[in-house]
Amino acid sequence: MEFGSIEFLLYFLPVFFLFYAITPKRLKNVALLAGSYVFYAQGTLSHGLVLVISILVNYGVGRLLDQGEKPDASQQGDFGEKRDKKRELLFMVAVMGNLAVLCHFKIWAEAIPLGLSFYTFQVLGYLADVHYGEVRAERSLARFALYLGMFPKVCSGPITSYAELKDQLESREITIAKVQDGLRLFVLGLAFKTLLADRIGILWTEVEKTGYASVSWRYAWLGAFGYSLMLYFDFQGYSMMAIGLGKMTGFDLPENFNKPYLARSVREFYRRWHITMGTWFRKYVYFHLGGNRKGEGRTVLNLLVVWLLTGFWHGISPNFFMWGVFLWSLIVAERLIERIPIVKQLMLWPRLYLWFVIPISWMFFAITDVQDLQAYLMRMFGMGHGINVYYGDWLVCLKRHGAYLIAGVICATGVVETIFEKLRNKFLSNLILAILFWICVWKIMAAGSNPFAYVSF
Amino acid sequence: MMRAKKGESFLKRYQFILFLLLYGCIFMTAGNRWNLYSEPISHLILQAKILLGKEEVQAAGPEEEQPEKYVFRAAFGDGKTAEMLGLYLDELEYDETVEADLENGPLEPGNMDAWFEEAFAKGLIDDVPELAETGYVETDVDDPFWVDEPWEPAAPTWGSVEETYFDDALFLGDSRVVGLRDYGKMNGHGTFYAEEGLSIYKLLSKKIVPVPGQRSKISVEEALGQTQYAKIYIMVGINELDVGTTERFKEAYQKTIERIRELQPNAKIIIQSIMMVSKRRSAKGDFVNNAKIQERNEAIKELADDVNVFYLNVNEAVMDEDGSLNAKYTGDGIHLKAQYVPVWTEYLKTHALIW
Repeated sequence: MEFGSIEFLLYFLPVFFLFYAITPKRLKNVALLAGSYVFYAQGTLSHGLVLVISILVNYGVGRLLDQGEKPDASQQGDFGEKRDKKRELLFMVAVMGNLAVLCHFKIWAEAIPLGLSFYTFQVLGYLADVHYGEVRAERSLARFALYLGMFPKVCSGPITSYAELKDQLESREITIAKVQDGLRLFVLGLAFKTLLADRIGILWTEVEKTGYASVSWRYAWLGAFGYSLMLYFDFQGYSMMAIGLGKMTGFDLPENFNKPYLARSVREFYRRWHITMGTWFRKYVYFHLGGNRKGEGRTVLNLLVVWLLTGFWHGISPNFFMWGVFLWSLIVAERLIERIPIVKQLMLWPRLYLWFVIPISWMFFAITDVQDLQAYLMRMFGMGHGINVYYGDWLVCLKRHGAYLIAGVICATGVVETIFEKLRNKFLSNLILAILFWICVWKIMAAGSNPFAYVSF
Repeated sequence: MMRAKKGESFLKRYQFILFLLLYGCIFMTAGNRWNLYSEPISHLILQAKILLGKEEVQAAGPEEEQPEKYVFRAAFGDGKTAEMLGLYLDELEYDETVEADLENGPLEPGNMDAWFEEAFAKGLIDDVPELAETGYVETDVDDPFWVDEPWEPAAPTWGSVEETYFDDALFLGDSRVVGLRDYGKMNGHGTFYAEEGLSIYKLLSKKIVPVPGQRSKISVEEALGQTQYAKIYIMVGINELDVGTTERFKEAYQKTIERIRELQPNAKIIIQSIMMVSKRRSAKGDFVNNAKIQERNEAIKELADDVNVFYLNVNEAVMDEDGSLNAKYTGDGIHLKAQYVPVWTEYLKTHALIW
């Protein structure tokens, strides 16, 4: 099921939360589990099985890897070492197994199970945390199943560490104020997705339709900007909906975006974009490889590994690797340039630089075919042969989408979230958000559905 | 459970939810959308009743009797005619012994009009049947025997033409037809009434036809009342794949064709197959998939009578070996790229109706 669909908004949402509200506290986890099952079961049966099996197997492995209390000296020695070796092997096999499943679906299967990339990463993090003694394994299968499969975050995150949710899984407070807080956030996210992302997204579909080699350079840049804004509002919108739903069920899920387009470097950008993924890669890959503590050369290499893996996570075609490498090269360059003291003081130039390179980077992301990608990038810089180009295309584009692009830029500055916070639970904001919800429902009914861009990962 | 701040009124505490419900009620009522809830609920109640054995499972009842206008085609020249017409004439209470009295002699293909006029004039039959141009006799009698020997009138053939052929052609449809208009290299031949997102349900009524000299547009239905065309090509269907059933789509398509026939009795209508989407787009898992498109194409194919309404499978021009839209030709999986639209035009030129 999709958050932005009529069945979710008008059927699942009210029915589930009514049911959840009247469930006594000790049964709320069961209710949430049941609801998540219904939510996920709307999709392909075999995909549902993958999730169930993943939950069962990883639960078992987690219990086996459980370090228990910190091993004291008396447990060392032969016996202790054998146990450790076994554990190490089990851990390796489990990690490989989970990755194998992920790779299988990414590389060979027609369609990828909903949320696979996201819950696989969460499960890998969980196994690592348990194995290295950071946290105890979850003893309750129900709570573990909830950790991986709870409907607010099963589809596309936020990628949450087990430690963050552990206590909340056990007990959490659900007040009507919190529920409405969550609901308001959900509506704002829905509005971002439906009224901004979907509408601006039309710009990019028009570019695709025309053909990548058939655009004027101005239109090509409008396309890049449009795509940049669309992707942001789509994913930010989804994340807000997920966090909102989490709040409604009593969970505090981590933030995923922090006004990324206000960043001053690509490094900073990726600390503000899809934050939970960056955190995950930093903790489980970058730091494991040594981070920046093994010298400059090694750091650069570590960064490359991280970025190649990030690219692969999004897709296996060459363009995603090029995307990763492109960003990596910018980050490496920035690390050097930032050593110049004056650079840290600049406000405008870094931002102009960012709004120049990030849209370009998104094109590597958006266009899968390398020939097409090359053609489009060349069109952006006025090079290469344009095929059948209509030189007024950018004017038509501005006429159709200009207003929404401007609205998008304004909203990307975070001003909406600020107002949202300031006016939280005030009469006016409640009124406006409530109307906004129904406007979105209306739009969705009129347009048919526009699946989230990140659903395919 | 839910704990509230002390002293907060119910309205204040539940303010947001109440607003949501309030506007929801307004939205549902204003748009007449309560069926979104009433239908599933009554369906569930029905299922529950059936489960509890309180209600018989109703088989789909017989369709309401529609007076059927039955068209039979007389098979001329093979001896069956007299027998068929005899049965028909029985309905009109015709006494065949008096056939000899008629100047027009026995009933034959060439003299049907005159024969019936005379027979009526002489009181031999109650009514002169309507004879359609192509030699059909329309009757209210529902007898399957009568279509045993259909008569095929000289059918139009398909051949190759020049672009001037399209000077009296009209193209109706959705965004794919817009692409044909903009990139089809028709060089000004052909009229296009098409718009992004157009569906069969809105084809005739939506105001998409620009009128020179005025700002507001008119609907296709109005435009069809003003100019007559010889060929009318239709391609719609991709936008409404998730709306209603194939049956409902076919019905709407049929009604549309009937209305167009009323407004343009001399035009040949060519139903273009709904263009497929690329394999990749079809595999996305949403309502846009080639299986669905195929189902709908098969349904609208049945609307063709090969006399006035024809079916043209344009997918032949742009599909790959597996019947999906050739991935090379499309950027988004649904529309032809600008440089490949002429492939479609070429197909229309080499598969044109000539009569």
